[in-house]
Amino acid sequence: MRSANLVLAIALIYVAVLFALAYVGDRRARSGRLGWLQSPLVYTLSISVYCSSWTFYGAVGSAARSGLEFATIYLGPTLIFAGWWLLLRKLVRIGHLHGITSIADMISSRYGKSAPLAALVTLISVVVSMPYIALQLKAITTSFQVVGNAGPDPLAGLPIAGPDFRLGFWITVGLAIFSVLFGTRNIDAKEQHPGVVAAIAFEAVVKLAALVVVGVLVVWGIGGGPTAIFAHAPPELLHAPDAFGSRWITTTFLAAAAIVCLPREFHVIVVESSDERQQRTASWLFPLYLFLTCLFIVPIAIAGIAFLPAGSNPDMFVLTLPMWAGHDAVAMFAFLGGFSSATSMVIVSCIAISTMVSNHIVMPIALQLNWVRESVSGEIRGLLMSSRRISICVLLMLGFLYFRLSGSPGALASIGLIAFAGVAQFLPSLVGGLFWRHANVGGALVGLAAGAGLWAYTLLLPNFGFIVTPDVVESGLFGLAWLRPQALFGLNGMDPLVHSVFWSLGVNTFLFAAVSLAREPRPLERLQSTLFVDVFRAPADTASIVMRRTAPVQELSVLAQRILGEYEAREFFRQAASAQNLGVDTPIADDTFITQLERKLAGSVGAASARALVSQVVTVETISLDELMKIADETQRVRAYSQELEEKSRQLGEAVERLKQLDSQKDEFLSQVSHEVRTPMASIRSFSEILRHTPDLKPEKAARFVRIINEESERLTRLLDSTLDLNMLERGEAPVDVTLIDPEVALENSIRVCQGLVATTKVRLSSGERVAGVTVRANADRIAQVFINLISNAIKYNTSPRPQVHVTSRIHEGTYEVLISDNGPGIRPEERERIFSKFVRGWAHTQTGASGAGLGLTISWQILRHLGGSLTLAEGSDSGACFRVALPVTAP
Amino acid sequence: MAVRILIVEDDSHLVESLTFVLEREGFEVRAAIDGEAAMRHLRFDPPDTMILDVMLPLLNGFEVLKFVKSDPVLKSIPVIVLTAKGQAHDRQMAETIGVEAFMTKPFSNRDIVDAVRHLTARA
Amino acid sequence: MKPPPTSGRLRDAAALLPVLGVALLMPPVIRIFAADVEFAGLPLIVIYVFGVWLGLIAAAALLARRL
Repeated sequence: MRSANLVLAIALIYVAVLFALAYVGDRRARSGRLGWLQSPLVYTLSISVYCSSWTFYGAVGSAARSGLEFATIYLGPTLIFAGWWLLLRKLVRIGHLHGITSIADMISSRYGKSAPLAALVTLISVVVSMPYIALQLKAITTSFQVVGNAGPDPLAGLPIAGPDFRLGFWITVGLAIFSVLFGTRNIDAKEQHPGVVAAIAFEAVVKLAALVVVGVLVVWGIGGGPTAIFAHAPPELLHAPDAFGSRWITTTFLAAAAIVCLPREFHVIVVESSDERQQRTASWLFPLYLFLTCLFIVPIAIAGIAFLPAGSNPDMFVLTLPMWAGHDAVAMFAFLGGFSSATSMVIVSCIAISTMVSNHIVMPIALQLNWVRESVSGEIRGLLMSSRRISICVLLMLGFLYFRLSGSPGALASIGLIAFAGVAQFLPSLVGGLFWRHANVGGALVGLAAGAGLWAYTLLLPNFGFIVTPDVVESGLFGLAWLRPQALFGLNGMDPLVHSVFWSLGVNTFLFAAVSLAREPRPLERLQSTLFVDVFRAPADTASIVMRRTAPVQELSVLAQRILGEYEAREFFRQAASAQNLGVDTPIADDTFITQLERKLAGSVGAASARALVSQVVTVETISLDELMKIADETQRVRAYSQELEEKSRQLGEAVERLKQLDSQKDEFLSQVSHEVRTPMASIRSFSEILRHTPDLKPEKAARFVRIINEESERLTRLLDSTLDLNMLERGEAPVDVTLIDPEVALENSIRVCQGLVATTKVRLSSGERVAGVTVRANADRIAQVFINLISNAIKYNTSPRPQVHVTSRIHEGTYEVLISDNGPGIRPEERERIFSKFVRGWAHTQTGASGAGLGLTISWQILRHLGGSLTLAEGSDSGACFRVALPVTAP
Repeated sequence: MAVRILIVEDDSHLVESLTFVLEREGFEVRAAIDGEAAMRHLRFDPPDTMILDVMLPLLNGFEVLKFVKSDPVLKSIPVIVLTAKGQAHDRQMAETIGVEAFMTKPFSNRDIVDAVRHLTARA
Repeated sequence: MKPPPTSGRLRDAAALLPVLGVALLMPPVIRIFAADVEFAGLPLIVIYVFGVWLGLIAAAALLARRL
């Protein structure tokens, strides 16, 4: 009944279902109805691509061989997800902001968009994926043989003839077609594949369900309850003396590293994520998935040891136990579960790694060799697509080659751990780059290269038996004992895995730190470092503050069309143009736009290639070191902050100084006012005392004194009014209602008012040459106040025997001027400077009885200053004073 | 011979009231309305006592005071300085130069007369 | 009534949760529970590992809800 053909048919039907799911998912996504595709549940299930056939078959195998150690592979990710707030959140935020397409893109972006670094990470990923894919091929091939009854003794779970490599080859070809069809149907700008995510979420459900069904069957169907099962446990299985030693720590650590460093995990966690809500849920839901996955592993392992014939392959217990119990349907379901876990791992790995190969190895070479410049629109996309397809095929073939060459008698788990130790090499550069500002490209390159080399020499190659033959393992390279791959520098007696991780990661981390410290980062590295480390503080658009670039819009448009496709490129340009509020369809290629475009392109070809592409078009590029220093260096920022504080306190000091000065001016003003007030008050008091205490005062004297008292009190009133007026003018409260007026009208009115003053005296007030039709911006009342003040001063202080005051007006160089001259005592040269100051009276007032507060000229001067004009003393009049009022003429 | 008083004050009304009050008390009063006029009086017709306002045009009261107090003949003339309250600085300066009495505006006629009497009697 | 914890404290708790997990699941603490003792017919170490695991999941779920 369980013929190979039936198994094949079921497997093909299952694949068809997956295709249908992916198709529906993509359709929904394209019409914008993402809905459940973006739900935290689907996201979490897609992350469980972590559980490959290593988990499905290998975990039981591992539990049967070394007890609880298998759990570490799931405890590591549990710890990382429980602490998502620390690492994953930052990783995903950066991935979103910078359009990160893969782990290679992430690391290279962080280190100044370094193309060599991206290529190195890609290369390591390819090498690491070889054993990992080989593991899946081995598991599928073996399970196919077992469930399809192909071997002589299926219950042993391991065909005596070994795995059927012909079958393995065709499985590889099938997976290659499957992955190409799935993963490279279209190139999405963000490298998101909603259809694939839907399919692998479905597979996640299948594999968990299969494992739980098998578990339930084993525990309650075969074993008779959990207690009975554990009673069968070999005593040393769960209580091995060295169970919780260095290996326990190492495997937990490797698993924790792998959940972020594995290209496929990075892809589903970072690249495919759409919002932070997803991680919030995954932080507990994914550990829960792992928990449920592991729940039945130990019972299944114990049952396998207890019930299946001795020497059975523990890696196939999940499959052989139901077969042994005669539950063919469960066995078939288990096969589908294992098939699911293997296929989802292969698909996502292929998508992730082929993206890396095409973006970080093929594209840079294409750019270098100028394939791209001459290409027509769409050719870059074609190049990307075909390079991805080819790299998927090559990747699977390499995996098959590893499977074939290693001949691997080894357990699935030990192959998987080799891969984990390989990707863990990314950890120092990745995590260091997220949290350590001074980490730079030199450190990352050297650390990675050294770590990967040591990993290959101490772990990968010995397993391979290629180059590092058992002979070399035994006696060291070139017969040098200190170069023995599993006892480097004589460090022997260690578990090979622990030994390899110690040396490779230790040297990697040390070199990463040491070279980073020794080398000064380039400006772009410094910028990227800030953008990554401070992702929650600095906005990603900081880049456009620092980078100064210009490029012809036309060339940018051609470039964008080649990579994004015509429609998407046009849409992007249209949106950018409308964001710039231009009213046309072509945006201005400013720094912000170029940065946005580069980030958009990075979503398709990776940051390093996008930068290389944009750089071909950009005509000027400078990175403003000043700006960079300002934002990049924390100490610099602190310094800037303290400078800012210093500046602020300096300003405060100045303000205080200014206030003090104003305060003392105010004091001085007050004391001047007080003095000015006290003089008339002294007169008033003195005369009123005379009037009170002099009974024999002549009536005419008394009348005079009363008049003086009256005059002095009027003077006091004027003084206070003027003081208030001046205070208002000095505070900058400009004269109200500045309008277009004819100043001649105000002048004429003023003269008329002053004629009244003159009437009782012998002063002759005359008006000379005058202009007509002038317009100035002023306030008529204020201007009249100035004229009256000046004319009445000229009248009051004129001591000439034949006093005269003469008023003229004219237009002089675009300025309206009024000259008020008299033949009085004039202003003495030493008074000219101070005559417009407060409480300063010319000596002339001593020659006459007229008393003033000494504020009139100050007020007039202030009024004209406010109106944009001036009040000056005209030079050169032979006798008397001549004041000049000037106001700018406004065109009528 | 009547005691001669020199009033140095730029406010004509105050000069008038002081002159009226002091003349009624039997003093012979002269007035100068600025510092230069005061100097002329001091040189050619030195008074027995001087009432001096410090805020004067042309030559301020302190310069007049300095001149008086540094002259071997004039320095014996008692000086009453008229100040406005609140101008501690002026008062301090006058004290440094050396002055016999202060009067703060507005003053009472009685105080001025008493001060003048007191200073002339001592002389 | 206890005031609700501030988000700053919650964030610290979220950052410390994996540290707590490491402490409980790594030697030497885990060795305490590695003794050959059975509890309700199940080995203590199995109960311990899976119990801590479930505890971490519950704590993470609680934090995720309130963070």
